Amino acid sequence: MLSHVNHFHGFANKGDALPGGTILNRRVLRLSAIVGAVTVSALAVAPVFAAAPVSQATAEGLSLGIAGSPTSIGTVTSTNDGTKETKTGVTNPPISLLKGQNILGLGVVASETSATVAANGDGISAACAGLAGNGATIAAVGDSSCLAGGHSIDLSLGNIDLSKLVTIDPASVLGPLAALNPVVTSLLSPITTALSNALKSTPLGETGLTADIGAIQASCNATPGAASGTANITDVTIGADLAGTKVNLVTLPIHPAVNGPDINVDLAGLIDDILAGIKAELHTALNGVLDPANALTDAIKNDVVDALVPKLNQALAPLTTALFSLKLNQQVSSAGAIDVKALQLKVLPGLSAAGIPALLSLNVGHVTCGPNTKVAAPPTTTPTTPTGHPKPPTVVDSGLAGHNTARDVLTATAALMMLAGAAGLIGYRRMLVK
Amino acid sequence: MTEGKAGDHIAGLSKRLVVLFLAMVIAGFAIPSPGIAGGPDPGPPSLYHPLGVPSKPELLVVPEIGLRAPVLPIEVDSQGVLTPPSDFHEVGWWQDSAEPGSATGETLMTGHTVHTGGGVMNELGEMRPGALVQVRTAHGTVDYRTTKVFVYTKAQLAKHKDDLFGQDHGNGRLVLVTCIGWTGHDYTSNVIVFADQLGVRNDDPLAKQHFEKTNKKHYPLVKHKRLLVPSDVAK
Repeated sequence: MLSHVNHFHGFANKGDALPGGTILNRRVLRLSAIVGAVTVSALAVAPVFAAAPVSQATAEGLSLGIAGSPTSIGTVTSTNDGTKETKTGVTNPPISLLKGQNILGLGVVASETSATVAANGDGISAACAGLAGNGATIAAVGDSSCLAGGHSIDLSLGNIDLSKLVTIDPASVLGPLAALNPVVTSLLSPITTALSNALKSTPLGETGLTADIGAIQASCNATPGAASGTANITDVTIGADLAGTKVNLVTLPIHPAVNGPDINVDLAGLIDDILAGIKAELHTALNGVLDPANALTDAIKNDVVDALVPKLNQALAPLTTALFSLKLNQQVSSAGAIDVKALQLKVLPGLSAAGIPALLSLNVGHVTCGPNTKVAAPPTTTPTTPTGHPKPPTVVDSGLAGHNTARDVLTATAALMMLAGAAGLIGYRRMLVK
Repeated sequence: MTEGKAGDHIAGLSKRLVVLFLAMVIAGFAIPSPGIAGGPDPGPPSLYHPLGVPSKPELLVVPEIGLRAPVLPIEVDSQGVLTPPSDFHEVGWWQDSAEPGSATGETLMTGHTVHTGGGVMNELGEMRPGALVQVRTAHGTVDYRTTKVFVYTKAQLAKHKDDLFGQDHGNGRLVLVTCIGWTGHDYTSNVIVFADQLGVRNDDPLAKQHFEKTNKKHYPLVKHKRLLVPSDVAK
């Protein structure tokens, strides 16, 4: 404070050299400028605070990235400013919005959010998002299992052309053979390209990844200062289709642990089978169209295959560490807010090490809830009854058993017997009268 | 002297700055932020308008399942049980729920499912999202569009009663409920249908009649660029 006074004192002394009146003007003007700047800054910032919602939630049903270009569908947002809820987005978008990607079969992408204000002024928000089979609907937003009903769906994660991972380089792969037998060089050169093409007809050519899905969903709830969320996965199995053979690679847990370790799935156990198939294919090819005028001896053919297979094994090494990786129930919490991602899948994530985006990334069920605040007064002041709203029913008893057929037959029989008895009595009385 | 001129120059600049700041301050107050005060997009013209006054339901019509039944008011008993009219050809409207046309709360109606057939809501579970539902009142027929059809067990229904039927929230949504899950002696679950309120069609004769009767002038038929057709409603 003292330095502040001294500062002004010094300023005044310096200003004494200026014409009279200028000092005061400059002081006033500078002070006014500062006040103006502060006011303008405050006004610029004020809308941020004014627009802060009392409750908020977002939901994203599904996002799909193919070679790094993501597409999201089913993004819904709800906010409540204390007086009304504003919702944007489509809760049940058609899967066809996935830019023509033929990845999902019959299924339902669902997202739902709500942002309300409780009677005590608490901002309440909830969200649910996920993927389920046809016929599924959102039962209740905020529940752990909010997608109800529906059939299971098949998800094709796409065919992966693994043959592109392997290049036939005669200099490096077949080079040792050329060194052993110079004649081989001239024989092998024309068939190098043909060998590459031949690989495409092997199990390397296409590996189909498939998923069988009951439901994958994430949900969350938030109140002022508190938020919680969960992921729920029902009947999800991911498998591979290798040369026509379907192999189940992983079955996902129903209630995955929060922020559990990545699930990395590889083909280590299947590589030997794949290579055996390739070896047989190459032998067949070398005995047929690839053999220029039958000039290759059996010994050379064996050498070609034996030289090639280890190189293929080396090329397939990335698949023995990560064909795809999964993250389940990823949650990030902060004060009164939560972010939940039910499932994140990356196919060939190892490619990212080489600066190439994963071949396919799929995120299913992403929700956020909060942070919420509290409004001072109840949002509505239009009580219709002094005692508040009526209590809703806990039971709706709207079923009847219907007519009991056996009982009806008995009743009808009894009625007929009574009728017959009455008729007999009347006849007997008439007979007596006569 | 030169220093004095520089001082005057600074003073002049500062004055302009003050004027600019004041102008910005005034503008900040005068011009509303579109993110806060901007009105909602009116969207495309609609075939519907709100019912003038919320009114008691008289008739429920669901063309998709061939339901057409009179509606009677019913009450929740002391045990919290809501039971439809004993005549299983009639539909009950919980009279403490919102009246059709209301902008708040939810309108709850229920009708019987009869195991051997013939109940007014036997086919309720066959409804699909998008189906048209109509509720006739004395002041016009309110149209609704089905948004969800799902099944809750009795326990789930009791747990979520406030979300499903509570009158402290909602925008006049219609909720239809009946029983399902016959075990041979009892029903285990309820079919629940949510339908969002579209409003009264502009060409509704009842609404027109009521308007002209109460306002003593002609019913204003709004001209639209394109009228909705039933297939739009079914979307």
